[in-house]
Amino acid sequence: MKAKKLWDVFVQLFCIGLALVILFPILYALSVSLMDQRAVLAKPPNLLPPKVTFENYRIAFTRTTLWRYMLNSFIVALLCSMSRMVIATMAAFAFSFFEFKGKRLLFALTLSTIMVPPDVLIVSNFTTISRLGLINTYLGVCSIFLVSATNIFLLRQHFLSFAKSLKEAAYVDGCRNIRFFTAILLPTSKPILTTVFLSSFVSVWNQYVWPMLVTNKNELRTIQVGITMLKDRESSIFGPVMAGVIMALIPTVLLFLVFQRRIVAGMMTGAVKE
Amino acid sequence: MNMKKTVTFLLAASMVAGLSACSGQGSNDAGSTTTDDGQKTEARSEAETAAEVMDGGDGMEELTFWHSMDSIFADITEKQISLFNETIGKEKGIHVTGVFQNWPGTDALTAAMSTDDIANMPDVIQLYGESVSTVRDYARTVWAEDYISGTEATLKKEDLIPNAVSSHSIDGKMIGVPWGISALMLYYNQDYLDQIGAEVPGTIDEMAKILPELVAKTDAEYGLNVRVNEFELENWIATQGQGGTYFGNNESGHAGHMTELACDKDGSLEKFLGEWEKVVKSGAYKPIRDSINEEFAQGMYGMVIMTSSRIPTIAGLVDGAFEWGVAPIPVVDAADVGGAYPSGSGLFILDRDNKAKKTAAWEFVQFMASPEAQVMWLEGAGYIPVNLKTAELDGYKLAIEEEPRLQVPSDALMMATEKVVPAYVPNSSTTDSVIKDAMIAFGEGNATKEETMKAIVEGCEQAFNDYYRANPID
Amino acid sequence: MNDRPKSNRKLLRSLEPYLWLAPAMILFAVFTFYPFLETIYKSFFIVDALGNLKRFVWFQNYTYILSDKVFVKAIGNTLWYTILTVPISKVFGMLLALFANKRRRTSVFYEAGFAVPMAMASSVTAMIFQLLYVPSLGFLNGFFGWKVQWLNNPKIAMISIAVIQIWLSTGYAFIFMLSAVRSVPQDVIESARLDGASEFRQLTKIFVPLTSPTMFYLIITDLAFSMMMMSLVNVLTDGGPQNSTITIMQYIYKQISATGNYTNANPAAIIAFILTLAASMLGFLWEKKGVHYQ
Repeated sequence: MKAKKLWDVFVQLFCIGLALVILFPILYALSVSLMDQRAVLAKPPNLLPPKVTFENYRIAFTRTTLWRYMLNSFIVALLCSMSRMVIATMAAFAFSFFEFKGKRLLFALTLSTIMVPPDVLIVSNFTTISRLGLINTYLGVCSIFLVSATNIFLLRQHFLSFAKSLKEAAYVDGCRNIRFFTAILLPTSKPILTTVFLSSFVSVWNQYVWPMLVTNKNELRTIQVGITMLKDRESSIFGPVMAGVIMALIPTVLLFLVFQRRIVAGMMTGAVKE
Repeated sequence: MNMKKTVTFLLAASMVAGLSACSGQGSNDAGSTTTDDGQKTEARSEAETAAEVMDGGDGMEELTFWHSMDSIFADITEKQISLFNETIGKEKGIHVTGVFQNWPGTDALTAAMSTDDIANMPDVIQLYGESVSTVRDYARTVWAEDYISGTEATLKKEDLIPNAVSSHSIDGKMIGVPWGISALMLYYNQDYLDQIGAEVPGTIDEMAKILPELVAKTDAEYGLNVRVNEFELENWIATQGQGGTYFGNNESGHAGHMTELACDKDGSLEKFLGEWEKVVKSGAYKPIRDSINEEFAQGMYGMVIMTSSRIPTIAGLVDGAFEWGVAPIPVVDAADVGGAYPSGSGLFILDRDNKAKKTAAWEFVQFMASPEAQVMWLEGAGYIPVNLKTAELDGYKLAIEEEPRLQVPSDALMMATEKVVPAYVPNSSTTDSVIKDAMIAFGEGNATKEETMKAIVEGCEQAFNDYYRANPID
Repeated sequence: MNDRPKSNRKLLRSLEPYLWLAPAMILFAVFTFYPFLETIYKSFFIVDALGNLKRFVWFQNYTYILSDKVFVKAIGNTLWYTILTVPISKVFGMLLALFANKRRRTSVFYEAGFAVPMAMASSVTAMIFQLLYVPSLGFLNGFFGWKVQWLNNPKIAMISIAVIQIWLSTGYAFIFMLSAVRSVPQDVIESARLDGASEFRQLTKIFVPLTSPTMFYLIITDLAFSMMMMSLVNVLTDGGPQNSTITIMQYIYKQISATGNYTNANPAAIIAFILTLAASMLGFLWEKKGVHYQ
């Protein structure tokens, strides 16, 4: 018994050590964001700031409207992840609970969107957005992120493992499809929906090229664009950009920590089932 | 949860998107006719009235200015813009808004160009020399020549550094106005040079000779660090000969398109490589670039070669730990004109079918090249004031007194002739990698002079083929 | 009279699945299918920087880029990168999940620690590693006393970049694998233990097969992702040195962003799509043989 306890402590220490190693790049970025320029690249290297300074954060916030960018990113990421969640659930519902003509083809087409290189479509999509007059709008920024096939894939696998009999049982009760969808399917899929929401939020929050292209007003720019503005191409000064990086990271990490228990608890329980 | 609402909203949105995607083709056709001169005027007057209505009744002309200045350069750019808005802008009813775009600024421009979306085009855009190929044949490019040679212009060609003017000219006509200019410089550690009793080298040969000594007799790990990219190579080509040498044909693209290299045919490339071989063979040269600023500041190198805009950064990093200075880059041949060409960016005006905006845009551009705006570069950015009259300002004198090294780059530009200009290289991101790879292999002793030359010439040829295959010259 | 509503309802019922699919399909059609079909069409043309179709050239654009050494190199690099990153990050994810399987007092801390990299944007991560990789004054070399040219040595550069990707996607794999590992029924493990199966045997006979569906999902999505990697290279090496890190996407991006060269970018995109499709097909082949569904 004692040996087992000791082993447990050992495993925990090991895991925490490992976690620190994995987290090292982020912790290092945090440390650099608190260093003054000369301490960043020095001999011997500084792991911790010799003297803590908040100058980099001051620069980050005065040089760019960082709060505004974060708000924009938040709005866009929230809109997109909501939409992804809703649309993916609907599509996965169709793919899992209905038999219809062209089902296999439509599903194959859905999966194929994962394999299309997004950068090539950008100008074409820009043209569409520009003709719709959606340049410089939140909807324009969101547009290409409103749906994601990976979410549909994930949810479909989850729903397939969801006993079909449950739906039949619901029908006996005289449940109509919409009611089954909203009253039974959605509530029981909360953990997986959390995953979809969270991973969507993070991925949209981290988008850069598209949000930059379809906005040319400072008030609509997102956080990743802000980070680029802090990056110094000419002189490679790292402090302010690392301050920006840390600021950009805080919301996603917080969100992640809040929801983490819930994801792990229920994600992929049924996993893939054909 | 108000999922229902969200669903309805999204559905509606996607429907709208679907519908207009189908009808989109027509509007594009209409847009492209504006390039046809015959129909231009008609389309224009409509757009003009629309734009005037948009501006509202207060008579303010709203201008959009796209730039890709980051960090401290962005700070100064913002300062320049607000000074304009508060002075000339207020007086003439013009208000400029600066918008940051992804470096090198061409992504958003080409997107707007290919959709001819004039509502979302800038009035003024900052472009680097290598992007001029994108706009030189574009129908909406407004040539600066049309304004600068006018009688009302307060900015005159004579006010500007001569080779900065020729750098922004095609067939002797200015297409853009130089704005954020820097020059390739030699940075040297004076303490080390004193320790070996050497002067600042004037030629590559002199430089190669002192490199081993720097390593042997000082704390320097290497005598010299420079990664030779297109920028560096072009400078060593351009500064050759009595009057300067062109890197590419058609005067490096300043008269007609540059379709091939010229430096391989007139011997200037070979001559440079021959001299550079001495540097390589010195064994005290580092051909790759890591964190050159910090490394130089920590005394790892006797000399480094990089752009003048890093002077403030180096000053901050060295912070008096040793004496250092900047000088024009060592020349290939003692008889060469030397100096450097003005690298960096200029401002270009686009025609958004609105004459008032064009005129206003010129007011802004000429301000950005004025002494008042240019002197601001000295506040930490290290760009060279492109306007010669800047030297008369107290602010300039003060800045130079504080940091005399800032004077050297502009002297280097003045030293060179009008022929010492950057080439309008098409597809320069590819040629840049080609040159970089070839010169690193050469510098590491993995390629001979002949192999290096061949790699550069053939790689550039392929890059030009790529470009002109897609963009044939009509 | 009685027939009408009935057939209407029938019609509605047969249309119903399409209605559920409509939002997704409409968005896909507008923002993926339509532009992608357009790309296929345009890949047979010479296209100038403004997007005008100049000349129909059949497959010439394809043969042109396939005879470009740089593009061929890009294909090779992309495959190499995928082979380097996809399996390793999945194995690491699995191992971490096994370590963390049992809930312990400090679980919360290290679970979060293992997973947080998944919240990082790759461009941002690239900047952090750029700083760590600086050869002379950077942390890695400085701290360990190495002299490695992480990003300047053509032999190492791609591996240095792969390390970053592995770091990024291990967190993602971990969080998925953790729930998969935790949902392995306790009685299965117990009975194996009673049969005297070693830890290793438990791993190969229970955990690997029972979590294979999750693994399958991860591999399929990560394959596509790795085949289209660009942002790391963009920040760190721009494809160099000696084109040792240029990927297909980076090649395409360079063509587009620098000179608007869609003549080369369009066919390259189609080739990238076909390669990714082929790689995914391999994944599906494995599904038939190696993936165990309960």
